[in-house]
Parts: sequence; C-alpha cells; structure tokens
Amino acid sequence: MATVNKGATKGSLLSPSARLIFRRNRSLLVQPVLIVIVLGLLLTYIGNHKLDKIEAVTINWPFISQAIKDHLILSFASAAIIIAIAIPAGILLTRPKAKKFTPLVLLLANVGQAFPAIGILIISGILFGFGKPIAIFTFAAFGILPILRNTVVGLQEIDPFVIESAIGMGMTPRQALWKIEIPLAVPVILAGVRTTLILTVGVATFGVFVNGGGLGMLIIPGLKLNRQIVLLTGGMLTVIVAFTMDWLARLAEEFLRPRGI
Amino acid sequence: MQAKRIKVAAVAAALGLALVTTGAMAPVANAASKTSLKGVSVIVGSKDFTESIVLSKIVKQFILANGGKVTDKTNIKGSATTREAMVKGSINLYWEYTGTAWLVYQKQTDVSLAPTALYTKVVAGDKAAKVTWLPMTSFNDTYAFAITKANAAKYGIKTYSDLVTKMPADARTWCVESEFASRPDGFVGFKAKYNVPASDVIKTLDTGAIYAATQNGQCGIGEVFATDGRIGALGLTVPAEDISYFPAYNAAITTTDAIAKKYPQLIKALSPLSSKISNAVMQNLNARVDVLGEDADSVAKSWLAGAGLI
Repeated sequence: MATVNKGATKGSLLSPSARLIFRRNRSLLVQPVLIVIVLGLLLTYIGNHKLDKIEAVTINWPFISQAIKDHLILSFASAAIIIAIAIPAGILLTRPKAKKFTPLVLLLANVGQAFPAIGILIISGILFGFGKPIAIFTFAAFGILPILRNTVVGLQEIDPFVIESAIGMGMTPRQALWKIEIPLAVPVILAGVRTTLILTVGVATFGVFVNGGGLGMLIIPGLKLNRQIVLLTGGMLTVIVAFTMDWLARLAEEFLRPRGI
Repeated sequence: MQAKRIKVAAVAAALGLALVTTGAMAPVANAASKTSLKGVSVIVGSKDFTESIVLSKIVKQFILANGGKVTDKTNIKGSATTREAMVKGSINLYWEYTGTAWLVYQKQTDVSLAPTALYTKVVAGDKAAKVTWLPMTSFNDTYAFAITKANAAKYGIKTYSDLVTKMPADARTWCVESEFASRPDGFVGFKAKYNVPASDVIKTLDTGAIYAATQNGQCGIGEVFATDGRIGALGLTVPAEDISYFPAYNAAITTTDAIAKKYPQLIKALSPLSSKISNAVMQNLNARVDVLGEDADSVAKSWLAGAGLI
C-alpha cells in the first residue's frame, strides 16, 4: 500500500498501478526505447544510401507501408485465430471427461508444426485460392501448438489440492475453473501467447509466395537480387514488428496478471 | 554370447561394405572408361529453378563420369546471389543467361541486340569482372507471359499487346514472382512498354505456383520461363512478343578466370555441351522433372548417356 501512495503524485500521466508495473519491471520501459533506436538507425541507413533502379522498386514509403500493413494483418489475424481455438481447446482438454483425447490432440498440433511451411502454403493456395485468407489459415495451423501446449500445461500444473479446497469451500467445478484454475494458469498461457505472436510475425514473411503481401515482399527480392538494403530493411522491420508485438503482449500480461492469488 | 556378438559384427561389416561399394561403384565404373577430367575438383552451383538445376546437374554428372570431383551446391536462391557466390569463390561455376548478365550485372539498357551479338558484348563486358563464358545454347529461355489455350482461343490472343487490348479487365489478373517484379528487365518496364492499366490486379506468387495458378484460373496471365516443361504439359500457351521488350536469354556456363586457368581441360571438355541442348531438349528435360517428378540428377545422367556424351 505504501508504495502506491508514494508513487501517486499530482499530474502524473500513468495510473498508480501502471507506474507500479513499470517500476517493478524496468525492461518494459527499455524495450520500446530500443525499438525506437533500431528504427531510427534503419531510417538513417536508408536515408544515406543512394538507391539504384532495383532498390527503388521496393524501398519507397508506399511499398513499405503496404508491406507493414499486410504483415500486421497476417500476424494479428492468425494470432487471433490461434488464440480463439487453442485456449478453449486447451481448457477443454484438461477437463476430466476429455483427458483421454489430450495425447491425440497434442499429436495433431505437433504434426501441424512439423509440416514444411512453404509447401503446405502453396498447395493450399492452389487448392483454395491464393491470397490473405489461405495464408492466415495456414499460419494459424502452424502456430496452434505452443499456445495449446502452454494452456494444457498451465492448467495441469495447478496443485490439485487448491482445486479441492475450492470445491470444499462450496464452489462448483465451473466456478473453480473460472475463479481459480484459469487465473492461476494465466501467466503460463500468456507466455504461450507471446511465443505465438512472435512465431506468426516470422511466418507471415511467407505471405510473399501466395499473394498475401507482408514484409517478405522486401526480404525475398532483396535476397534474390542481392540487394543488402532491401533485405536488411525487410528483415529489420520484421524484427521491429515482432518486438513491438512482444512488448504489447508483455504489457497485457502484466495488467492481466492476477493479484494476490 | 561371444558367437552371437561375432555374428552381429560380421553382418554389420558386410552391410557396411555393401553400402560403401555400391556407393563407390558408379564413379569407379566410369573412371575405367574415361579419366580425362581426373584431378578436377569443382563446386557446381545453380539458381533455384528447375532449368538452372538440371543444366548444372548435367555438368556435374559429366564431370563425375569423366573422373572428376564435384561438390554440389545447386539450388541457390536468386540470380544475383548465385553470381555473387561464384565471384566470391563459394561456387566455381554455374549457368547464366546473357540477358540477365547484360541487364542486371552489367547494368546495360539496350534490349534490341540479337542473341549472338548480345553474347559477344556480354562476354566482353564480363572481362572486367574476371568471369569466363563458355559457348552459349541455341535455346532462349526468356521471361514470357502465358495464358491458357482456352483463353487464347476465346479472346483471340496472339500477341502480348492483345493481352491488354483483347482480354477483359476482370480476366486480366497478372501473376508474377517477386524477383521479376523488382528487376529492371521485369514487370515494371513491361507494364510501361505495353501500357498495362494501373488498375489491373497483380498477384505475387512463388515461381512454381504460377503455372498451376494460371492453369486453374486463379491467374489470367502468368509470368513463366519460355522453356519450362509445364507450359505444354498444363495446356498453356505463350503469345508473341510483338513489341520487343525482353532481351535474349541464351544460357552458358560461367566460371571465374581463375578456375578457367586452373582447369583448361575442364573448359575444353564442357564447351561442346551447350550446342547439344536445343529448345526442345530443354523443355523435355524440364518437363521430366517438373511434370513427371523425376530426380534432376538422374534426368541429367540419362540424357547425357542417351546423347552419347558419357
């Protein structure tokens, strides 16, 4: 309590709980600063480099902004699908009735991760039509495993006595799930969410092969035509997007972390 | 127990020996017939599409059959990357195209030169880069645009200009791959030359996916390679290039001056190869890999054997 009061000064931008979080976890402030510095370095590098005809095709603001936009769409959409499927699935798999399906489902999720990404992507494109939808769907299939596994593990790790006490106190199994189990599993689940977000940002670079757009539109031509600036720009921007999403996820993790359990 | 262990060891040794001899048999058998390239040890590279890989496998199998040693580093992503690898010494030779060298490495702009004249200029231009060119093929694997035979008949398309004037806008989706979209001899210039409307839909796909996507209707017009086996196999056709835009792209083995100096016998042995590879031959070899799914090394080897070259 004392720390909160100490921190509460007049005219402060952040709420007391926000300031508490940032004080407790310095790196949450450092990360955005680093992101901005790297972005600044990249912009300086581009500014100082005279572009030849090939580089000018991709290194221009309209092209890059479209690539970033598409990349964010691909990453967020696949991440959203993954989270919407994997977390409920993970919760269901730890219920007593579904326990016998757990190994099979985890096996399927494992297999999804092991598939050769570009091959599946292109075959799906040929069968179902190239473009963002098939890209998003395929990326989602690749990313299901980390969150599914983390959700299952997060829930399985909860001391069964805690749940027993909850039931003993008069909670129904459903109340115990929502009030005790899920809040306790949140840190592990959110760690899985962060992993998946980074994964989808990386995988979204494959969008270039199936008319999905994304930062791969810089990386692949840069690679094939041996133009460092194009390759570097695409790569660095992908890293920046990944770190930004990671930072946002960490903020969410801090704010969603239950207190006092 | 002792007897069983000896038995197991004996079986393992026999298996091991069998594996080693089977692996060693091929070059040994050929070395008996030809050893003109013994002592030659080179790293063979190639770009990342079937034709480039098959051409390099032909060189590889030829050298192996003649007693030489080859390290296979084919399937490198991107033209410029492969060229850079050779200049820097990570690979020793690969097949390059005259048009590509002219426009992309030598940064020239004149696309009106006939194949032989272009070849002469390219060879001269690469002296500064210390790159040696062996004789070129007669086939011209130029960038091309393909449409289905059905569409060609339906809209009466005979030339590239017809694509813009006779195909309705909603059928005119262009599918290109990302390298072509960025190259100076690529889509940007083509669009300008042929007045392709800015409103036309352009999709970026993987090189290989374009063929299937054009055939099943997802692309109205697909960017392809002229000697690809899939054009014929998938019922596609290439209209005529009525306004000259693409330069000639004849293929030739390129290597560094250093390697040419080190292995003059290799240069002499490889030089006659390109004249044996016609348009029809190249398309056929490409089709065997892309359509029939054969392995590039075995296609190369069987072709060389059939042509009496090994």
